[in-house]
Amino acid sequence: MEQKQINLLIAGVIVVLIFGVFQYLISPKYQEMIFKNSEIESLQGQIKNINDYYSFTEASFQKLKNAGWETKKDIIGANFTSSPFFFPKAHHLLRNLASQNGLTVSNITNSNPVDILKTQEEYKDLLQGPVKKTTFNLSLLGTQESFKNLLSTIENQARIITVKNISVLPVSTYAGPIPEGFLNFNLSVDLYSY
Amino acid sequence: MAIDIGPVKKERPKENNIILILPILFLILSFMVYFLIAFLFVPQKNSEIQKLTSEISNLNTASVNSNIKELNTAKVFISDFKILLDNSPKMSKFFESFEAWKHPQIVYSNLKIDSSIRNVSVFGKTTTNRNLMEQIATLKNEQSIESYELSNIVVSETGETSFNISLIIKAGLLR
Repeated sequence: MEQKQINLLIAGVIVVLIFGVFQYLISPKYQEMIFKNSEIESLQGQIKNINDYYSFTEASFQKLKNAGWETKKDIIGANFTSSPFFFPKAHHLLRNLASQNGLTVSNITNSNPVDILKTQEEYKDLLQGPVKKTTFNLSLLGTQESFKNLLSTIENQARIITVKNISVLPVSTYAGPIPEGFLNFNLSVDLYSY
Repeated sequence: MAIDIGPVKKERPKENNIILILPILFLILSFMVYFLIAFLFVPQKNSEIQKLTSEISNLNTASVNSNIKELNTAKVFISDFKILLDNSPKMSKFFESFEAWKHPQIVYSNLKIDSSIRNVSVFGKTTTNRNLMEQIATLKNEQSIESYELSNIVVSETGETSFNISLIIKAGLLR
């Protein structure tokens, strides 16, 4: 065998070896590097998104604070906190509102709190929190003017009181002397809690 | 004269060397590329990934989380508050309106209001049915009333008239 032929044979073997190195060593590592690059890009994107979200959150939180959320939260929150003293507190509130407007409360009854999703309210699906509704029925005695004032007071409360039913009847079963112009009012209202 | 009888050095042709040297160079180059990728670039990328991952986990700070929690609470509270407020009828407005259109010579009693269907029913009594006619004329022109229905109209021999009236108030009045 001539030297030239031997050299060609060795060169051929080396070329095959080079292909092997590319195929089984360089190519997998290169693919791994490409994959790592895309992973890095994705992580960098995540960091950017998180930072953007945090900046937005911080700005929104600042706006909320500037709008006086700390004090407003207590006012609004009264509508959505659940407490073991919900019923006595609600009774106390309604009695107070009635007496402040010159009405005598002869009776207050209440239903059990009902999950608003189980009611027929049209807006129920728009609510985000687990709002419960409790109906209170009040029997009141007083003048029509006092009752109108009570309704205005109820509507201006931070605590939402939804007036459902009103009935105004002449006083018939009241024991004792009845001042002129007094009427019986039955008022049915809803209060909310979480 | 001396004769050189030692082995004669044969010169290898250059093209034979190139055939061997070039593949060997490529082979060395290939291994260098492999080592660069495997032992320099990939570990670099790994450490960068580790650094970014730890950066992400450090981003979840307690203060940001508490801000997010507070914002979510505010969002739910404000949204629910607005919905409930918008759906709470202002019944005092009905009484203001009622005072405006009720006939001064008709005595109304037994007033019943159901705000969910905006229905008002009331019993009226007056000395003459002319007052009732005038009241009907007022109701027809009243912007806040969607519809009305009279029932149980009783006119006595003296002209005293009693009736029931059922009204549907327009939704806009109670807002």
